[in-house]
Amino acid sequence: MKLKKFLTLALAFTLVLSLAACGSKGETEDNNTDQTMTAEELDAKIQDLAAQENAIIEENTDLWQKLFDAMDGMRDELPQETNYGSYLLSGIELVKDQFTDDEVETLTDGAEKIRDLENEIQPLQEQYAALQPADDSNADADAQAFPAFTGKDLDGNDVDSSLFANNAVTVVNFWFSGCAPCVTELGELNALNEKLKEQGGAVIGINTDTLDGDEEQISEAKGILEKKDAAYQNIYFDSDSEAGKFASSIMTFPTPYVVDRNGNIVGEALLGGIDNEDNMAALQTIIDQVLAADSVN
Amino acid sequence: MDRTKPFSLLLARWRGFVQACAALLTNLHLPNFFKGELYRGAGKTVCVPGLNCYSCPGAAGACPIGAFQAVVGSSKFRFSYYITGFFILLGVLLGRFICGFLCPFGWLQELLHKIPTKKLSTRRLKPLIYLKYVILLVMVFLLPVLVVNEVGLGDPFFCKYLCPQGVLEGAIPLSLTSSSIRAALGKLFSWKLCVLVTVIVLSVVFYRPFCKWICPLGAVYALFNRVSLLSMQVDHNKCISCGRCAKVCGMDVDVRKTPNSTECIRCGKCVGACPTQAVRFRYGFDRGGACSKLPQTPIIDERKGE
Repeated sequence: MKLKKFLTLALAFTLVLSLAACGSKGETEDNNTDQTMTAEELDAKIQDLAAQENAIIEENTDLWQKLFDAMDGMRDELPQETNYGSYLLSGIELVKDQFTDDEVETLTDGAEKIRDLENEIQPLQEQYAALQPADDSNADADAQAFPAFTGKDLDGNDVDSSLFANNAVTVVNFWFSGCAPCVTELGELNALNEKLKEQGGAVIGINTDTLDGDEEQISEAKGILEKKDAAYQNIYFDSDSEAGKFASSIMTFPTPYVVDRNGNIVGEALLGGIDNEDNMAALQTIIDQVLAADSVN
Repeated sequence: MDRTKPFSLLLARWRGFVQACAALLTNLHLPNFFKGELYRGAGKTVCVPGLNCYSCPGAAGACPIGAFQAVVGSSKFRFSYYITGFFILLGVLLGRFICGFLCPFGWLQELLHKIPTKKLSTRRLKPLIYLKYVILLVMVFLLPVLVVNEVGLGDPFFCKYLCPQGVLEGAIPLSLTSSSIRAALGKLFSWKLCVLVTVIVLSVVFYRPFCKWICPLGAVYALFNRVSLLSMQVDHNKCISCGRCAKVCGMDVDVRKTPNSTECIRCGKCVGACPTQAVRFRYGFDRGGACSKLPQTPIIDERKGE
């Protein structure tokens, strides 16, 4: 209980401090929490910080890969951390007996840097999300933002809603393992992904069985994707997150959504598999529309 | 025995009310019809007794036939012990009483049959009653198990290609509230809408055509009619062989000869029609009893005869 009180106080204190920091204008030019930053600037900053994180891992790819493999087996014992750096740190603590002292030092050092970067990114992301609908003057008045999420892909890499910014158009396909029509069209979706890659787009799958990271369901989904040679990214997130609730409200499968670079859903949800010609044509129309709009901006 | 007779009559007389209540309870989530949503809570892990589409916005439970196909058609299972156990339990407890009293689609056909037109007998179409067993075996079991894709998933063939209840309770209400579902309606919908319209038209002129010839759920319960705890009993000492029970029966059953026919849906019309209260529902293990084992052509008491 005491800890809780302490945390509350600490949190309140930090909030006050951060507000004060915002209030003092001009003092820190590169203040990350500057509210006047536009969505693009925020996005660029987030991308930059994320790139720094990636750079840390890329310095020692093999070593980090070894860590990820070791952590994979311990997933149940790992605490639920929202900060990826802290998550890595607790992982290192668990499996450090499999590494030399030097390696542990390199990893710990890298993870600490990532943790600090994450701490910078998280408030930025919140601002970015908050700015998103208001800032985007090009979007339709009734544009619906794809609900925010932080999660992982089926290979365990972290993902969040900022991934939409990487592509002019993203086709988000909701499916589940026991859905025959969904499984049937996985090949077509993979082909669509290959085609979109060239146009600056991507297909992302969300298997609703794998929400919350159910190990058994993930391995089943991966098995199905492998059998169907579907190589595009499939992701999951917590079912009680905004995106999780959105996913749970879907009643028809498969359902593809077209999402633009700003994370807004374009057009009505198209129900049914794209192995059907009409459905594919309807989907293509929206994709083309989004691509055209993106090239104008 | 005298005490139970009025109950049989009462039950038969209040059947329409029971049917309405059962249809309402099976589809309790009424606001969902306007919201265009499906109830997906814990209730959906349990089956309802009658043929009632899982995708009906109001549905409180799963359709046993749909659930059975979903399980046997999945890549993990070849057979559904849970649903089979459910069939056996309800079959033994009630048998086709479920068709007569609890099934919403049966009730709909009966209501349609009340439309005043010329009514036709189905007696001469008797061989068609075996069609429902073929549909049960082929569309509900064999095809979902055998026709699978590369990851071992089968289609729910009966639901997908034949069931009119799915169109009536699922596709139509959902497409009324959702433009994207409307946009997704294709050839399959048109085909099943034709099936639905055919069943509706046939129901006006024939009594319960779907139950007699098509329904795989009716076929399941029919198999249990003979061993069901609920059965019809004819007191041959009271029977005056007037034949009214056979005449009134919409399912072409002669309750005096075959009180536990696979076709009897326990609607109790014969109970109500019998002038001497010789026919009644009975519930329990001592089925048949002394009464119905008496000679099939009973001695008619002249004083009671007409």
